[in-house]
Amino acid sequence: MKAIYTLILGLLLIGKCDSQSIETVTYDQLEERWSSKSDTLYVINYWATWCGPCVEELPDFIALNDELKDGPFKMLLVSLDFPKMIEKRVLPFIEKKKITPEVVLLDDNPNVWINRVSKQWDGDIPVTQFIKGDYYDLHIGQLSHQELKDKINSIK
Amino acid sequence: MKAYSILLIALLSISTQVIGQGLSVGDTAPGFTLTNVDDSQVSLSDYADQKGAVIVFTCNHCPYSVAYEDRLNDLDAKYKALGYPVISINPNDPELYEDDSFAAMKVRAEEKGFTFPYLMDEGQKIYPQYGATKTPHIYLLSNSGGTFTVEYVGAIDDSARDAEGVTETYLADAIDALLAGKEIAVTETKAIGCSIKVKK
Repeated sequence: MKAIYTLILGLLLIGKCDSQSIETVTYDQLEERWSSKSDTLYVINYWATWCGPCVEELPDFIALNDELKDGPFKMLLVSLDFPKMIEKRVLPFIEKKKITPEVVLLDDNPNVWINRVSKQWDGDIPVTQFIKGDYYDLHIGQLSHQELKDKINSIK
Repeated sequence: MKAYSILLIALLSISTQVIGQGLSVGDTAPGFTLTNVDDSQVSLSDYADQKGAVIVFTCNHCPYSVAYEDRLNDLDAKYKALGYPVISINPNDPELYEDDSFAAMKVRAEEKGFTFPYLMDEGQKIYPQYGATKTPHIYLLSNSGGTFTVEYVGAIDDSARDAEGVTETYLADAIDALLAGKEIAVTETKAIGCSIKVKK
């Protein structure tokens, strides 16, 4: 009986950890999350809780994900908050804003990974990558509801 | 024909604006006269007797800027005496970010004991001439007879989030190279920052 309790407690703890943590990744690890050999449309948005324009455009991204998530579609919200802010800011923010797309936190050498995203990009957020097969596009700056919709329609 | 040439010139000037979004290494830095947190006017030309200057576009509200405040004081403490003082400029529109108002800048400069000017880019006229896109965004300038030339553009170092994690001190290395009369090894770097806020 005691073993069963321990097991249940253990499972509860695992479940709790699962919903209460986000993965910290390098850019190499992030890139493994999409593939050019798939017909999936990947939308990768780089944001942070402290970034005003990022926070403003988030509801449109959440709505888009809700609309398309059952199809060949994957959205990743890549947080650039400092890793020590995960517990204090990022997780509470995800809960408060009801952010449903997957969130990961990128922690890597900015002088290297920013150029891998685009030589044209300076490191100011938000930016959004759109990837499907050989199609690659980077939008620098905030996207309005209509711009995001038009962008997706032009790729689909 | 004349209309055609005008059109061509117009097109050319548009395309150079798009390509040359900001100052690059080797470009002449534009001068400015802006109001400091002590209400004095500070001009780049005031520094004509220095070897150069470190222009830092920064602000109050951005965590990446805040993370560098102590390091800016340290850099100024070391390099002002060697002829490369720090001059910081807040490029944000205070109407969009209350934290970046002139009154809030005064408070922050006082709290952190800034040893360098903290100027307001009134009307947001200066940052576009430099091509700054975010805070913090650094332009290291050298001075030759009152003409300031861009020597380095980008980040202060490679670890915004904590000073302990720094492995590359890009800005300090660039100043050290200038002081030693050597070529700067890395003249441009990139970092994450808060986009500069402009009214739409």
